[in-house]
Amino acid sequence: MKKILKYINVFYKGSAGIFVEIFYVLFIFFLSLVLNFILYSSFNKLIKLP
Amino acid sequence: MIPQFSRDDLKGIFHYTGKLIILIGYLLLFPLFIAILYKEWNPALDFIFTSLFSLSIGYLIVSQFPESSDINWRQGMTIASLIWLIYMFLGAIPLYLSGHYKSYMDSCFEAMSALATTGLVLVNDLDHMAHSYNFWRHFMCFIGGQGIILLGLLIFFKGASAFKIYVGEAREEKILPNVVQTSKFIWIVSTCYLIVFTLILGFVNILHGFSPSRGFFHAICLFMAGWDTAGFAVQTQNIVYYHSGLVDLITALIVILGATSFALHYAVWTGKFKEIFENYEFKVFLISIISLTFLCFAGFLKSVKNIDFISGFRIVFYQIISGHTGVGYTNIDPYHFKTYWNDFSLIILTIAMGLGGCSCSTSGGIKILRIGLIFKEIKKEIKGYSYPFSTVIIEKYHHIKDISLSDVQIKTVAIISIMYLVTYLIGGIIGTFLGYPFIHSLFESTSACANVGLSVGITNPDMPGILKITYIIEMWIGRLEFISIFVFIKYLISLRSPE
Repeated sequence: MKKILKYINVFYKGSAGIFVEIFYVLFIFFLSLVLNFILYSSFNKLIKLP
Repeated sequence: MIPQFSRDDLKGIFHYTGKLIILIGYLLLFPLFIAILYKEWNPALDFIFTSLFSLSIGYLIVSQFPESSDINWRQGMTIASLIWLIYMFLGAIPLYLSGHYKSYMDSCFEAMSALATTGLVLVNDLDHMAHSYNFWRHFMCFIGGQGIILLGLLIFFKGASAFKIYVGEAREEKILPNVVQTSKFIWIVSTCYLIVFTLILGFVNILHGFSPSRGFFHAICLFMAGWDTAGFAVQTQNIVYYHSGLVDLITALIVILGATSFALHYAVWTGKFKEIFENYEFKVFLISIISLTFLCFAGFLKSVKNIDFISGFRIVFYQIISGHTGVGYTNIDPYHFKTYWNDFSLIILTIAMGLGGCSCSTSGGIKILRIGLIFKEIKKEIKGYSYPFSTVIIEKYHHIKDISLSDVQIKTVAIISIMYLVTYLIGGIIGTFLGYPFIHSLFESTSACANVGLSVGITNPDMPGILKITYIIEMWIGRLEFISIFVFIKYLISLRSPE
């Protein structure tokens, strides 16, 4: 029982960490999305296809 | 001169190896439970047989070698290398008995691929495989990704021996003062994420029309293979099967978190949120993901005309994440690489695979911290030429704490990185010798050695046997990061020619 309570405690403390990690990774995803959209929309101007 | 091994070393090696064999005997009870749950009686018999076989061998060895005194470094390294081979042979037995593999070698390939968290597969007719066999494939990914030794640390090993075997499994970081506590923490993090993502993926699957039991079965399997960056999937089509952008996004999240250092997880989980923004390794990792996606997308747009942005980005971003983290999940059909990807995009993806994820994570490859340190050393060298000769240049980086870059560190980083590059190349040359295009065979070899699992189609049940053996060896040495394997080989040689 003590062990289970200990694990619940760790999970409770760690849940804030889980949110921080997930949101940071999502932020990187959106950053990459925006950057690649700029590339996509200006691709034919930047790189002349043979 | 490297000291010769004595035959007395055998006692310690056999004792701990025997204990770890007992462990797999008990681990086989998990798929047995799944077999009973789904009323799969023939698979249940296969798991009972393999479990009893492993337990008999394990207990026999331990009874013959009851000594449990502390072991030395070379013994620790040898145990770590040897046990991975033994787990491959034992783990392959139920797979072979399933009838889904052409030969025992194919099932050994699959078992090593699962344990080393590679994800290359040789299975036939996966879509009709019994749940329990399929669960065993994914469960092996979870065991191997977390680390066989790491699991053993929880149960069997104590004292100084624990750390010596722990290092043999390519893990150096002690997150907590004691490796047993470190091992416990790693299991807690993984279990918490297992619960969170199994629930999320399970509900998403149900929303997509799966029955609850099937939805959660797929969810737990996807998590185990994703978190441990293995890339096995329940269906032949891998992630394509789900046809869902949401599943793509969730699995991408799982694999990035799986490829993140457990030391960073520890810092963030204990309230040091700033660490995620300051950690040098994580910064390099994210910069690398963004820049390689950008380059790969540029190459992809050059070879694929008239594709809409979302579809193109979804394909490229997912493959880069999959390659960089070493997971090997794919949301495109295997022929896609051959048909649509030009050499430039394939080279960028090969580089991403070769670099790998963070150190002290479940990911393979050179590891991003090593790449970051090489850049730091280059910066230090440039600084050295810019300042007067007598100036002492100190280069620091932040990884949980501020660390000064030392020559010893750089030497180790250089040795391991070069060994990875040479192994990628050797596998590529062997593939070329067997008639495959160089770019494709280098891609496949890098995928095997960096424990990624993406394939351009070379890996299939009909590939040459020599290539299967090459990839098994690459997966094994790539997972254990060379040194412990070399010590093990040295041990075998010294047994043949004792002083």
